[in-house]
Amino acid sequence: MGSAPQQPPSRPTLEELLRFKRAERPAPEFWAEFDRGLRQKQLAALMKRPQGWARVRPVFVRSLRWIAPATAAVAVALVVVQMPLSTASRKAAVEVVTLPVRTVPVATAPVVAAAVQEHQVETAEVQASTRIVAVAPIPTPAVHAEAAPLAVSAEQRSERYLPWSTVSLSELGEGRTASRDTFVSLQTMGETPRPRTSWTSRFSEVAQEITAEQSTGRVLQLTSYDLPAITETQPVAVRVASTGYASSENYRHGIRDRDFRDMESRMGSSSRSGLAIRF
Amino acid sequence: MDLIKAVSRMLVATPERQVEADADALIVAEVRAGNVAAFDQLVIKYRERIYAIIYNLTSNREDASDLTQDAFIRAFQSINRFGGQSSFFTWLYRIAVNGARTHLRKNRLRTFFSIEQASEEEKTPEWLNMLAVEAGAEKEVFARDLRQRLNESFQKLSIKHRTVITLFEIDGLSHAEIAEIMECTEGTVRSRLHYAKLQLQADLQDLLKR
Repeated sequence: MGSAPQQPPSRPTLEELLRFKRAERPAPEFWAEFDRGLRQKQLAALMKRPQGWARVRPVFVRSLRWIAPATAAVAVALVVVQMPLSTASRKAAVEVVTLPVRTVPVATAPVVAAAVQEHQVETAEVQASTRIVAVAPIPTPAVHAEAAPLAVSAEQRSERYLPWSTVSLSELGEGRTASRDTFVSLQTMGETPRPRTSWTSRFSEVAQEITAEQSTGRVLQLTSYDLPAITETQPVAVRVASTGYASSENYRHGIRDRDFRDMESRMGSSSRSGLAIRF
Repeated sequence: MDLIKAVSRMLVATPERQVEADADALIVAEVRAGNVAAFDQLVIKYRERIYAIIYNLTSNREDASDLTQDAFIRAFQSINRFGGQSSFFTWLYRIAVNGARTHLRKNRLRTFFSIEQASEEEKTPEWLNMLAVEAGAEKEVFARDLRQRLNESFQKLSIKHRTVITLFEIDGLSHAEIAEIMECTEGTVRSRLHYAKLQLQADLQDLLKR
């Protein structure tokens, strides 16, 4: 029978070492000093006024009782107030888009030469739901005159407007006053205004292509639409009031059909908008 | 959740702990009622244990003294917020341990050992005499060196491991109580304790039984 190997008794275990460490204790006089220090700190803590967040916290917690319901009430009130306003503005936008534009029948619309020659610029009246921003010069089909720059009101610079409008030659002929629904700019449309130089020059280019025979009704004013070059051989699409598009031999010069449709889709006008173009 | 914790605490608590907790609750109620002097009873009751824990965490008697005082001040200031979900001693331990851990994190690079004397009541173990003879040193000198060595080994542990082994081995708390103080699971406590012991054994292997 072999005996189990005996460990030398001199070596401690880890638990014994930890027990030895546990014996580290301060002397009794240490606690007298400790108590004195603690008393001083306790008094200082009692005398010390709370600072910073500790000072604000009770007020904040108390105010939370009414801040949260008040905020909720204000939010609900804002939503309730905003709802009718947004509905009304949407209705107004629709009304603006559907404003009728007076059209002059192609056959009966006279050619006004006087308006063409003077290139005067006028500002029309402001209507309640529409804003009149500019009067375009009437081009001189016969003499191929350059279009004069449009008069733009100060308000227009910061607002959005329809990229095109119509002008009745007959209305501008005498007295050179535009009717209310002649020059229309809508603030609610999605087109961003382009620099005047761009669209006036484009208008000028188009206007030069229009002959005297074709300018019997209204003249399309292109304000921000980038028209392609127009050739005499291309067919012309004409939008007559609310009847849709029509190609005609009488309108040989003008805008191509697909460009017209593209322009209209970009402007967001529908077939019921009553906008008419005459050359 | 608090109710579950309270019930589980009551189930695992020993009768002595429960009696102690009830007595503490009465004193806390007194302090809350305005009897500030009643807090002194709690200080006298717990100051040595709190000090021992913090001393073993910091290995510096001055820091331990300051941090112990701070823990009592903090407990006194926020005694109205003590909800009674845990026992007072657990709550106080948590304040003390968190304060010490914050101090250790702030002063991670600064370690000054300032060791305590051994209590005279403790009987000198046999192995200490033998080791002193082996080392050829006087018993007191060797004991002092050994305490220094143990403190160094403790400081090599991470703060979490050091806290667990201090609470378990020095203060004699149960796994459940340590878990409540450190706000972790008992499994985590056991795991930390195991790795802390392994690390200490590796560090002190020349002194230990082979």
